[in-house]
Amino acid sequence: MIQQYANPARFNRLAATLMPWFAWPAGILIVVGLYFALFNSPPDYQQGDTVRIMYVHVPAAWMALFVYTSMALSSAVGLIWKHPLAHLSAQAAAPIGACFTFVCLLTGSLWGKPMWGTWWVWDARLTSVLILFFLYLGFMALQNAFDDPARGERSAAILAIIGFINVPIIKFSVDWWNTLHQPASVVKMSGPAIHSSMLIPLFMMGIGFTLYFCALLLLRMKTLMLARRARGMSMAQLHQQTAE
Amino acid sequence: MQMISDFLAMGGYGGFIWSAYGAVAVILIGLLVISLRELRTTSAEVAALEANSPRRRRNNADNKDATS
Amino acid sequence: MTRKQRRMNFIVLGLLTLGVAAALVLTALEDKIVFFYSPTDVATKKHIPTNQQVRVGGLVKQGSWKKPTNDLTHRFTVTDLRHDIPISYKGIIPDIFREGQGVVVLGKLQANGNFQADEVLAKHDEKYMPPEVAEALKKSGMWKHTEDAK
Repeated sequence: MIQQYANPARFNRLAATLMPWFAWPAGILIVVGLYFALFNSPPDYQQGDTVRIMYVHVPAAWMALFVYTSMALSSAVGLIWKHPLAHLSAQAAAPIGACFTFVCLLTGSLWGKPMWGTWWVWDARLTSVLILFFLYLGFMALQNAFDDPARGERSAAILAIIGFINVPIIKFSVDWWNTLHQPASVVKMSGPAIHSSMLIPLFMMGIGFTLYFCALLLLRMKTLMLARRARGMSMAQLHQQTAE
Repeated sequence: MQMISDFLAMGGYGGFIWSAYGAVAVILIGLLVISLRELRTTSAEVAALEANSPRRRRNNADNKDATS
Repeated sequence: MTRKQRRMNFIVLGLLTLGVAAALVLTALEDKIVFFYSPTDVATKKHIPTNQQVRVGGLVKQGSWKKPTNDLTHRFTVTDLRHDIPISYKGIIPDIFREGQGVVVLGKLQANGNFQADEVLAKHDEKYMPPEVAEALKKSGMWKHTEDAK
């Protein structure tokens, strides 16, 4: 019982200190990144202006994988060390990750239609990312599927860890199988295959999205902690009323 | 004027590009707004519960659950 | 051994087992996950169905693209630099369809070796650069062709 409320005061202090360091740079980087992405970067030699979709599609894809990894890690920490903040952070991260994955799928579709000639194909890359989206949804559903929140937390954590196997599959799907999706452009052995005039805005958006995630994660963890407190308090009050 | 319409047309791909950016804006800003609203309602809920139970303070101190 | 260690070992062992299982399943399913066959697959593999739709991918052979005249049919050759397949396709072709570029076609292999396509998808490589840079690279002979058709 005591463990459930591990240091909310200390966490809130830390969150309040960190928040401005995440939120402001996130906003500034995304706005400057958008300026570069839409106005100040060249069209691609093949894809023309549609390459501008890359500046939101690729960072969203990175975040989809990064957030899932963080979720699986905190789930493992929660299961092994029973640190109460760990499950909370996984729970707070899941909707953010689901949103990034959805953005990735949607913008990919809007890019695929004019360039590839199709909104969607069932190749290994696209299918494995769709599975990632369902893993996020499954995690959120499982968490609320039990009357006992602790049981929901544990089941969802196990799902998050099992589902982590999908992360390397997504990353290497374009190398292991033939796909319509092209191989990696940025994170690869021979260095990025993107011209610097496009790589810089891409990284700006990538870092901006990461900081946006960090700020939102803190905010959502704070909410979850308050919700847990409210639950505990209303139960205690109910208990008192019945005792009287 | 010509410059603006050229920019919006994006070489004929404007529809795809602007819907992609629009969707990103709606989803990411929407998630932020929803999260902020949840924080506000939950804080209000906790404040109401705290105001509601003067005897709660004593219990709290006994359990040390909110402070430790 | 503490309970923490036991839980940790359990998770690590579980993940390892799961990883091995996933690798085995994916290896077993290799043929099913393949999105398209290469012209060499079509030429050598006997078990590619002729009466059913399949996808074939490769490069559009240089100089092979004949734009439609009055029957609205595009004709081109897909190659993986070892084998060729002649394609005919009636429909709209994607914007980045070009000779020397990657392409994936869905359709049926005819008895005469011709491939009747119902859908043509363009595949592009992982390189992104401004047109001037591409031009300069081509001029200086630094342009490397990726083996898209692999």
